[in-house]
Amino acid sequence: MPDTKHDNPLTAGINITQAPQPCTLVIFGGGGDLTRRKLLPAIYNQALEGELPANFAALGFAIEQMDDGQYRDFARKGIEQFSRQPLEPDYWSDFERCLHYLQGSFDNPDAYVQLAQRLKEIESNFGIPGNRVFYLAIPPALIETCVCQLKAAGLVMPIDENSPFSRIIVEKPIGRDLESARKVNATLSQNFHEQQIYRIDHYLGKETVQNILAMRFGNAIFEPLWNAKHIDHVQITVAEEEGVGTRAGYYDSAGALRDMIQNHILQLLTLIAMEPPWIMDADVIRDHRQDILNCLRPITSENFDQHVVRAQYGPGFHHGEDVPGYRREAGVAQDSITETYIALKLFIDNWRWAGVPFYIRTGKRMPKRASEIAIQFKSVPPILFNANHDQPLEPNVLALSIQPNEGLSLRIATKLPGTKLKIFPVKMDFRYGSTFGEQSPEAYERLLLDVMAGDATLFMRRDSVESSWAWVDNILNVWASSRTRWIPEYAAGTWGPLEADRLIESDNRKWRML
Amino acid sequence: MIPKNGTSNVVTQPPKRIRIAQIESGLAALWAQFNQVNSGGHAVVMRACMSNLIIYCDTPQEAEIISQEIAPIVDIHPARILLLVGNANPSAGPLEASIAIYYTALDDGWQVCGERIDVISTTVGSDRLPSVARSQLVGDLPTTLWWASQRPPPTGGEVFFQLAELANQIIYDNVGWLNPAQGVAIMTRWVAAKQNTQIVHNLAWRRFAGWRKLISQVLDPQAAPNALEDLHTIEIAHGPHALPMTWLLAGWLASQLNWQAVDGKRLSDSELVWRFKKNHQNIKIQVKRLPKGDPLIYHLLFDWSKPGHAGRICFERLENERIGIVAAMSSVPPRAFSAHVPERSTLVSAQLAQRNRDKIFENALKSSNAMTAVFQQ
Repeated sequence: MPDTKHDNPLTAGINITQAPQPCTLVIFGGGGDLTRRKLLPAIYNQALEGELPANFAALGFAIEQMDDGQYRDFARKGIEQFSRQPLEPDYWSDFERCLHYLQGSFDNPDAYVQLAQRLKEIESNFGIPGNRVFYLAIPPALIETCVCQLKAAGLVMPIDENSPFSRIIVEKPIGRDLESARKVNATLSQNFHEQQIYRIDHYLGKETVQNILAMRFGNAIFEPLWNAKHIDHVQITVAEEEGVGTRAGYYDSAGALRDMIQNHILQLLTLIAMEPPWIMDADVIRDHRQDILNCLRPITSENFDQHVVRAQYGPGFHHGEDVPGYRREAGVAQDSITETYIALKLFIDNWRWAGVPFYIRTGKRMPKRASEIAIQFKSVPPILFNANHDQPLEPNVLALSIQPNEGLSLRIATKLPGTKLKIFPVKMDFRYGSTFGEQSPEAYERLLLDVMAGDATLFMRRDSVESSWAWVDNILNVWASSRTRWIPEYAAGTWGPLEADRLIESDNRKWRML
Repeated sequence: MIPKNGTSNVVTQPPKRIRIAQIESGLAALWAQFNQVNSGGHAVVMRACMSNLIIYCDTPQEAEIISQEIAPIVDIHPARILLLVGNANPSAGPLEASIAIYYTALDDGWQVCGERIDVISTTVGSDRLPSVARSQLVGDLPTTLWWASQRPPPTGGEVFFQLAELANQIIYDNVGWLNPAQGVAIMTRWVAAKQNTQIVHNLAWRRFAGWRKLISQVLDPQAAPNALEDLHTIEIAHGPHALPMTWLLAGWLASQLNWQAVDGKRLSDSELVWRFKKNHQNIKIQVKRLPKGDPLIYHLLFDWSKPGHAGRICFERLENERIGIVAAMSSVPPRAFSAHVPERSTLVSAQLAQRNRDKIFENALKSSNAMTAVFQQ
């Protein structure tokens, strides 16, 4: 629910569930890569489509030395390169007026005094009633400093329906284990109310991810089958083509488990597995997602090898070109055992999912970029069309593709034309891009508007972050207690190590070919 | 080579004449033929279809314009299109039909995103059009009637009523109506009589959605305290043919802000005025038609000033599809906003996906009708 209320009958029926409210977006790290690639293009697209509040301004706040004019050039270049819609020169001059910049050090109290002063000027110029959204697009180590300084400078307003709102957006990673996540959350909580905190995971802003709920609870045919009685197993794959690239510094200390599983993939899992919410309310939906995290069976040292495989990419080919192995990447230690791939088998110990394995894999330098959730249904009985034990029928699979082609497909068995009774699997495909012919907004566009509207449905709550870390910590602890300096390797451009194949094949199942 | 339509990703072929009884088999043949010609039969051609869209036009000239809009519509909202023309000249008999298929390219094949069936009739034969439509609809899908005639729908008589019976939704456009007051009254009565059975939508309503959003935000109590309560004067200047849209805009404000229409009169050939009342507050809306321009709103001024307190905001339509706040006439900071006026095809495709009655629109229509009732012709 929004944390401020006011009565405006003219907003009734306007095609937005909750109207984004007039505000200033303050981007900490306003000169950084995330801002240039994602945030500024997102607000530009929203402005172009008339989605932004009429009274809106953005202020980049960072250490880099820039003035407003230079910042607008910086924004323009980012938008030209990364925006979903091309930059329209006719509109640019109007848009750029809402962009501002303030140079300052995040740990300098004087910078926050200047920030407060600058915000007042901007709000006066743009008719903004003091509402502020602080976006922390900064390294995790700086979160505490920025949050405490904001509070000390009086820039955090209390929750009161009659006063302007202050909201803060925090990027992942929230900590690097349970203890550090708790520390970050404690810092946030000391300075902001939980209702004011938006922990962003951009995966949750993707169209297909949102469509998971629509598909599950907007169709009568899926939900009756959505349980252990009918589902054989679930596979979640998040494959990246790229290597570690320029993120070696962060990635080598994080690895795939922290980088992908703890946040993106566990959040996807909760949406796939949650019970039906009774209302589209942020807290109700987040409660239901939290229930799934509470039911995750812990992976312990006793059953570890049957549930976890980690690996690292070695040298190989990417689109036919030689690429180095992970340890030869710039910025990576030559004896690193950081996993660039992880495969997991996990269970959700509740009534609906008892005994259904969820196989998860994610890695870098895979053959292609692909994120998918596949629900494999149980096979039909081995009689009639499925009587041939040597050639069993392919089971039905419902696959939700998250990227790059957002959509869903259903594999069904059908008779081939002809006099003989031959059954063949056919895939029915639905793709957003080709079916609707219009672009979906980028995840950041949707999520930024949600924050301006005060809708936290697609953001992570404190308990969710901490529960997922608690579960992930079990795995980290086993690794930490292991003395081995060996990690399985897979060739760059392949689908992962043999060990991962064995993990699923030991259950008489196979990874899907994507 | 198959022509590509404008900026959409859709390709199509020229319509092919066909007997009405063979429309369905003709469409299947076009589908198979396309597969053979473009891929030797190896690629998959799938069909995506979300709706039936019946489009009714009075004249071949209107149909010609609509023809250009079908590709962008089915690009966004795959559909079976029935384009019916009421006053045309078939080469033989009262009716004549043709068919065409629209495709979009997929990575590994093609997708049929539109099946188009044109049926033209003589004026006398137009009462047969609903029967053709009835037999050509795809089952299990919602049906929308787009009344593209420039007459208010109920004045279309039996053809309209029968086509409307087939539809879950009726789309019309009041821009260009010759007598807006009469049109509003007829539509209000008809909508009221439908009693929640169908969605009725005026494209003009979606056309000024950007204005509604902007107005709601700049007059929001957070941004402009007391503006909604103290508003006393509104000035609107519009281009030719945009009076019905302006009427609806005024109706929307009146319905949402609980204003009662007191009277209205024509001041000159190009100017009229309404007066409203709420509690003890009088509100005046003065409307002026500009001598030239597009059927759009060009100037909009809200005044909630009081002695000792300035409260005005004035918008002007600027070049390059922008709306600006005029500094000299406003008590709020000047700014400019992107104000792209969507193509009609975009409005239609967006509305096709709408599945609920829009009570705010219907209330606006009722208020527009109340304004008609007090208007001195």
